[in-house]
Amino acid sequence: MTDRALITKRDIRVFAALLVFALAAYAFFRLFGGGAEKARISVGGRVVQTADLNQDAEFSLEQNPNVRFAVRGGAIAFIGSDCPDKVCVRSGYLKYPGQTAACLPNRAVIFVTGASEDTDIVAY
Amino acid sequence: MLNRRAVSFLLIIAVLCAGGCETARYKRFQTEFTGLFDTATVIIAYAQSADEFGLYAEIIYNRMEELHRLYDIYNAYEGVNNLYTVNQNAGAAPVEVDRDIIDLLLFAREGYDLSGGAVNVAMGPVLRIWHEYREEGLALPPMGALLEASRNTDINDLIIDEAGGTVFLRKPGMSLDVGAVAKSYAAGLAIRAASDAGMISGLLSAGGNVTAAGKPMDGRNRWGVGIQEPEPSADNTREQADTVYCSDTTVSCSGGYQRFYVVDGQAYHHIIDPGALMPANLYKQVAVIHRDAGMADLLSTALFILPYEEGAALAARRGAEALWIDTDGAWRATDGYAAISKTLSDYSASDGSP
Repeated sequence: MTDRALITKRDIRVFAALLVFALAAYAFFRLFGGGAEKARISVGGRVVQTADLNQDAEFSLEQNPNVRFAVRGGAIAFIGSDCPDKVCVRSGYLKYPGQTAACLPNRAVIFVTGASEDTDIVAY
Repeated sequence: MLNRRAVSFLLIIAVLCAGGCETARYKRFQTEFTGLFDTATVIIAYAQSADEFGLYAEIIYNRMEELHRLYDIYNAYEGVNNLYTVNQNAGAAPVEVDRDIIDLLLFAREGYDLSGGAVNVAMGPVLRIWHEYREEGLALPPMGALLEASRNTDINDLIIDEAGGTVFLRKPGMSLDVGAVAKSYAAGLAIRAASDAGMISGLLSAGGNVTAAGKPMDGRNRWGVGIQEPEPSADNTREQADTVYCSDTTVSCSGGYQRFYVVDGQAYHHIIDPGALMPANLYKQVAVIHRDAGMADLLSTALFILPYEEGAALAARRGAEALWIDTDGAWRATDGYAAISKTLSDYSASDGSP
């Protein structure tokens, strides 16, 4: 066995290549993996529906067909409700992970989930 | 020689994943619900099992619900003297109350002095009129009625007897409204209860005011808390104005965009300037960051009402960071806010202290 240096030039090249690959993968997921993809709809603290935000749709709450939602261009909103103040509808379309909107009289909450490493929850 | 190389290689791997291995035991759990403090509540926590998370969520819920009942001004609960009871006994008799009510009102009185009266929990009579007209949604309250009501809003007529454990509103027309402070104050106590039970990493959003305990157990040093744009964009989307990176702190926003009504094309919201008896209209939104949950909420209301110079001085005095979004959309921020802001700095969640 020949005597070799502890770390050779070849080792450094392999290590550098691994590092570049890791950084590229990290950058890729930071740039393209951060979008919101789903929204949870809870009623009374229980998740009753999960909406795919990549698929435009309109649907209503199983518990109350008067509470209506729309998914449009990666965002979700309450579009109708039988509540008196319509604060839920006024909340508009949500698309960022951590955003919430609620219809208090119907105990319904939308929460946008996603792969974002950046924002855990949105204050409002 | 090969052995030495193998050992050094393993050492490097071990160092690289030391951080990750500790956090790998923790998973992220979450629940969201309504029913407390007339708003939506979200609990997020990193825990080692669903059962552990369930325990923390239950502790937070129970504590919040207990405080919700005590601080409720609209409903009576059997066997409980709450703020509704105190209001009902205005001008009549002191009411024996729970220590949690005494503490909240002492805190609120401190907030009154701090804010030069901008945040006044004795504004109940004025806020009640605005509340009724907002629910009706048809007209503005007559200034005469507001002025008449404002004669019964002197906080010095709120008598807190700490030793005796009673609260008394000295004049018959008085009433308390703790809307500007109660939910975050309660959130702070609830988070503390969960932390005492072992929660090391959690977030609690009480109606959009976010209290963070510890840091996220996924390798990041800070939570990312988004700040929502005060108004929906032209296509009715809620954009994100900013993200701030923080741990062990509360982010509280005040703005006129949640509870409002429209008369003659003009929006009138729920944050009433005690001086003008009208909705404060200096800013679209103010966000405040402070270690104490109740103080963050109180200061965000105060800063939303106060002129910028006064608000900035108050923030500096209490060690709070703040962002003001003016009615024309322009931003003003404290240096400490800018340092942890995604928009105003290069800071990110994986960095250490700013």
